[in-house]
Order: sequence, then structure tokens, then C-alpha cells
Amino acid sequence: MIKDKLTAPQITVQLFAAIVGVGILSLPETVGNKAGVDSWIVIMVSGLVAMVAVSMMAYVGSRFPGKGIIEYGPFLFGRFLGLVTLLAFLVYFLMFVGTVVRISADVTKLFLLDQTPIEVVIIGMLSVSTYLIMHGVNAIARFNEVIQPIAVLILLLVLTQTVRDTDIGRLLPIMGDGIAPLLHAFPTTFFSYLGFEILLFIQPFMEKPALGQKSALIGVAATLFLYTLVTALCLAVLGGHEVTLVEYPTLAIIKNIEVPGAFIERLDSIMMMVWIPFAITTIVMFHFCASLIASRLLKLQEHRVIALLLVPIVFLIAVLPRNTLEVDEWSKWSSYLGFGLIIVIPPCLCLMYKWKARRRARA
Amino acid sequence: MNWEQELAEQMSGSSDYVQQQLRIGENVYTVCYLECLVEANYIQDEIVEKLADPACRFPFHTLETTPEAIEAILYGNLVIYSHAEQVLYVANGTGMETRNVQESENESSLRGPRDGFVESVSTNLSLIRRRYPDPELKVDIRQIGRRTKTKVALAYINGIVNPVILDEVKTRLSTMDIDGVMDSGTVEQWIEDSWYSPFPQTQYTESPARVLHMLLEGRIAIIVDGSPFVLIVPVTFSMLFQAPDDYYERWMIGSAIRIIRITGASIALILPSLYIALISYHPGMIPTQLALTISAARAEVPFPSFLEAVFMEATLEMLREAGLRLPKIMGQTIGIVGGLVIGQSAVEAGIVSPVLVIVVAITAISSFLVPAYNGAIALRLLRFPLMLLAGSLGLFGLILGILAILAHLVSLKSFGINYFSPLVPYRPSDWKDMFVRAPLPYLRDRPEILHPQDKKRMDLHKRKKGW
Repeated sequence: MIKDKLTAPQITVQLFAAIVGVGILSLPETVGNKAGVDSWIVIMVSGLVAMVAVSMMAYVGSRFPGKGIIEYGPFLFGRFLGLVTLLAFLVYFLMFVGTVVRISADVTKLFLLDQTPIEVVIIGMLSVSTYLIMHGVNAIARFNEVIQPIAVLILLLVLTQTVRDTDIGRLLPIMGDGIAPLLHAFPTTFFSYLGFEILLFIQPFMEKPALGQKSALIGVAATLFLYTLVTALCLAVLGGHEVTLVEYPTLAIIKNIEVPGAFIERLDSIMMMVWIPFAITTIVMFHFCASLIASRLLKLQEHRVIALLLVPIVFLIAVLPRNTLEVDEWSKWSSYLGFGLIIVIPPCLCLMYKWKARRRARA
Repeated sequence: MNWEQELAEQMSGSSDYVQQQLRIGENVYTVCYLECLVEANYIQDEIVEKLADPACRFPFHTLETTPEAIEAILYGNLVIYSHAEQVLYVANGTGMETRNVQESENESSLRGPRDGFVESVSTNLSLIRRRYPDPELKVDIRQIGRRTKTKVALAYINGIVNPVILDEVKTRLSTMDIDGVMDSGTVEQWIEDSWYSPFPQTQYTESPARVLHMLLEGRIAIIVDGSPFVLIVPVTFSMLFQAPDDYYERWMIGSAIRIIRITGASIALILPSLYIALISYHPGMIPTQLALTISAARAEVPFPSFLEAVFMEATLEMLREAGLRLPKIMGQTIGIVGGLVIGQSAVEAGIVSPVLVIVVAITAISSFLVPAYNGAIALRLLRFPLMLLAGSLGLFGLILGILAILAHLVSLKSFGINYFSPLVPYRPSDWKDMFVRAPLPYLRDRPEILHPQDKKRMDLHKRKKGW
């Protein structure tokens, strides 16, 4: 009671908060470009792959109660490779935070504040996220517990209004082009699930690390559900071709809503209100994990000073790209790094753990 | 006499100190007291009479040391020295002026007990004790204040209260080192968890029934001598929206009123900033018809909506503060000045738009819905930073501000209990008494967040009806 530990629902919400972020506005477009009307199938499949990866992480994590990859990584991989892994995570997290901040600021500028300099928007976001990070992982978890259900509820309520415009026929034919485009779309789709790797870092804060697997799976499953729903709705409203023409299909279908007799005319403004918390919580989770790695590598007890020191770096990464194309480029690179890490690391962790365990049993 | 001189020396410079010799029959007594704390008739009527009656045994207890004697005198007692027996006695003096128990003005309730606490710790304790005649109600009285030595009583129910929290409260109280304790507010600020928070981390109440309710939930009451406000710890955010009436009235009414209060608090916090954000940054988000109405009304106004709103909200706060300190009769004048002159004339002069006056009025009314004054004022003050954010960054700034307030709230703690619990971390079993007040059978358990020793509050199986 006095000493806070993360509860199982908190892990679920944390993972959900980390995964669902800026991408939800553009997801149907990015996936639709590659997979067309079958986007929702790809999203489900990659969600299942993410669930496999996350359960591997949780499995290894639950074998080392009270320890995260920062502690058991060097133990399993050896000191050098462990360090390299952690540094790779650090770089990936920082780049990811930077690009997420930049993309959020871009979207905010586009829809809410077209006259404000992007730097001001970025500083605004970073100050709120840093303020939250200063209070530690438990406060972050509680924050997510409040904000995520509200945001999801509002989002779902808004989405119900799009159902009127849907035509299930637009989702057909299922797998008309065979399986090849689906495979081709897989990496891009998988990017949208980036974020669940924070489990490696927050599992040691759990009250009962053994419950981590279940909670994490629920978290990823909730994301899978939301992503599939949003994409299927976008496809059913706009059709496979139109989805790829608009930059933010999710906003587009919400803008399309006309609620007869309702007082609120533009539901997309409500969508933006929901979306800002989604973006901020993603930033918070990644920034926190980055400062956690950095502080542990420097053998510091507290993550706070490092978290503050990382803010200028994140800010620089966010303002460096000169235009949307460069942002996309940065985002692509950080996603590839993350993709590589979470495809390679979990099986390696499992294998190394099994191998070490067997060797210990034999000895 | 050594001790007589010592007493006289310690009390020298206090003209109200009386040390007089009484010769009653054969015996000689020295009586010491403070004139202002003991009624003059009392000595004549009670003490002298008792001393004169040889059959009467002293019902007074004896004293050993001079410091004890001084303390007794300073708390309004009589110290009597019997020369024959060579013993120091102490007799309770009466005549400490206190206010009578009367209905509390700040915490009026439609239904429920009317008596309110007064400034005397013993009277206040008696109000609680009378409602809970059980030895398990423990009262731990200590003196706090380097100079004032104010009595501070800690009341809790043994067997319900969580010992960990109790220890923490005791530790914080015992480490208090301050020269004077004027009100429970002094204690509150010393023991609270976060000094840099606008939100109250203890709750104060004037109603003994409410204290008892909280004690039964497993909380701890701190009663400070000289203050009619009893502190209750630990406190959670949801308690700011609860009033005793919620429990006395039927559950649907109680729940509905709670929801109204929470809505009111949210409106009081964000409505002005929402107005600023929508008018100055996102007029497109307002429904067309309404946008036209508003812009027509605002056509005359020379100020940007941010300045306009800040002017009016600041005026409102000034009126409120002015009305608070004024005598009640003057309060009406303030109402007229505020309502007519500032509201109507400002609109007629074209300085503010009528829509804004409506916004300000709604804000004012909603902010008074929060029963806890210290919580309401926190929300009201936070309105201004939010207005600034909305004025500079529009809706985005407003959302950032709300998120920052939320981040602050979830990080707060009150004596180890999360301020935002039971909402987060999720404790669904406690949600029955948060936003709504569930029917009585659902309130079977005490709040789980406090980890009380005795969990069950009632046994529903024993409930029987006559037929």
C-alpha cells in the first residue's frame, strides 16, 4: 500500500497506451497502400505476431522477478552484447520519441494551430510529458488508467456514428489478390504495434510479475481490436482505393459524420481531443524507458535527472527534419530499428534463457 | 514556602495570577489560579464550601511537582495547597469561555445532525464520544506547539484503522515543531504530503456525525484545541465531492447530486478556457448557428476573448472574496453591484459580450457546487492557468493543461493512499461509493483502499422483515 507496485490492469493499460499513439490516424492509409481492402486481415495477423513476441518477453521477464532486461540482458547475452542491446534500445526509444513528438506536433499544427510555430507545440507536449515522467512509473500507470479508458470510450462513441456510412461490400473480396500483398504489407503494419517492448522495462515494477503475460496479452489484444475496428470502418466507409488518397483516413471518416439534429457539428474536434492524450502517453512511455536505460547504464538510482537531460535531445530529434518527407524517413528508420529489435530480441531471450537454464540444471 | 515562591516567580508579570490564603476553620489553604480562567463565584460557592465541610473528602487529585502545578493553573484549574496536610491538590476550575454547540454555518445540510464542533477540544471530543460509547474509540491527546502547547487529539477506532497509516500520522504529528498552533490548518499544512499542490490533502469538517462516519471507514480524525474544524486523514480526491447528506438521503438522490457536483466542478474548471479556445482559435468547431449568434454578440467588444474572460473571471473572484469578509447585510449590496453594475452595464457598454457573462455566471454557480471549500478554491484557481493556456495555444493548450492537472493529481498521495484512488489504481469494489452512492447493501464493505482491519460493515443476512 505504501510502496507502489504496478498492478496487472496497469500493465494492460500501459502497453495499450504505449502502442496506440499517433499512428491511429494514418494507420488505414499506410496499411491500405500495401494491402488494399485486406488491410484489416494484415492488422489482425501482425497483432497476433505481436502477441507471440510479447508473451515471449513476459515469459522471460517473469523468470526474473524484480529484474528487467536492463539487469538480465547482460546476464543472458553476455556483458558486451547486453550493452549493445540496451544501447540499441536507447537509441531506438529516443528516435521514436522524437519522431512521435514531431508527427503529433505536425498533426496538431495541421488541425488545431495552423499559425503557431512547431517548436512551441513540441515544447508544450514535452513539458507535460516530462512533468508526468518526473513522478515515476506508478504515477504514469495511474495517469494511463484514467486517461486511456476515457479516450477509448469517446473514440468508440464517435466511431459508432460512422457505421451509418459503411458498406460492408467495400471490404470484399477477401484476399482477392492472394496472400502475397499481405506478406508484403506485414512489416509496415507491424510498425503500428511498436510499443509493446516497453514490457521488458516495466515488468520488474510489477507487484506480481507472473501476471505480466496475461496483462500484456490483453493490452496487445485490445490494441488489435481497436486497430482492426478503425481500419475496417475506414475501408467500409471510404473503400480500398480512397483510403490511400487521404492522409488521415480516421479523421476523414469522422469528419464525414453528420449527426442529424445533434448540437455538436464537428466530431473531428472531439477526435483531436482524444488523440492528443494518445500521443502524449506514447511519448511518456518511451521517454520514461529511455531515461530508465540511461540512468541504469550510468548506475544512477533515479531516472529523473536523466529524463530531464534527455528532453533537449528529444527536442532536437523532433525539430531536425525539415519537412514531412524527412519526418517519414526518420520515422521509417526508427521503426526499422524497433522492428529489428522486437523481432530478434524476444526469441533470443527465450533461447538464451532456456540454454542457460539447461546448463545450470546439468551442472 | 519554596513552591509558593517558585510559582509566584514563574507567574510574575501576569497581573491575573492570584495566590491567596484562605483560613477555613483551623486549616489554612493557599489557592492559586488565573483570574481570567476561573469564575469568581466558583471559588466562593464550590471550593470554599467544600473545604469548609469536614465531612467532605477532597475529590481533587494531587500534584507532585511545580511544573505540573503551573500547567494546571495555565489550563484554567485551581491549585490548592493544604497547609495542614502539606499536600498540593488540583481542582477543575470552570469558567473557560467557550462557544455553545450550535449549527455549523459552513457545512449546512438539509438532512442530518445539526450540531457542529466548537473551539474546545474537550467539547468536540464529547460530541464524538457521545455518538460512539465504546472503549475501542481511542483518543490520543498530545501537546503540540513549542510555545502554545496546544492540545491536539487523535481519534481513531481501534480494530478498524490500519495501523500502518495510524503510525504514519502519529509520526508526523510527533515530529511537529512549531511555535504556535492557531488552527487545525497549521497542523494540516505541517503533516500534509505535498506542500506544492493546490489540492487539499486533508479534509476538514465541522460535523461530528461526519467525523464518526469517517472513523468507521477506517480514517483518523485530528482535533485541535481552539479550532472548530476537525481534520480527517487520509483523504482522496473523490471525497471532495461527497457530503454527509448523500448517505442520509436515499441512494438515487445522493448519487444524482454527486454527479451534479462533479459535472459542476468540471464546468467550473474548463468552461471559461473552452470559451476562449473556441472563440479565438477554433470558431469552426462551434455549430454554425451558435457561432453566428456569438459573433454577433461579440461584434462590439473591443477586447480579445482571452482578456475579456480574464477580466470577468477576476472580477467574479474579487466579488466573491469581498462578499466573504463583509457583514451579511452588506453582502446584498455586493450582489447588486456585481450583478447589475458589472454584469449588465458591462454588456450595455459593449465591453464584454453577453455570452461571456452567461459563461461566467455558469462558472460561478458550478464552482459553488463542490462541498469542500478548499477543494473548490483549488479548482477555481486552476481555471486561470487553464485560461492562459487556452488563450495561447487554444484547444491544444487546454488539453495539455487538463492532462498536466491530471498528472499532478495521480501523483499526489495522502498518507500513503493514492489521492486519485479508488479510481486508480483500479479498485472496482470501492467504486460503489465514488461517483455514485450505491444502495446500502452494496456498501457492505469498508473502503478497501484504506486496508481496514475489520472489513465488513454490515451483515445483510441478519436483515429480516416482519412478514
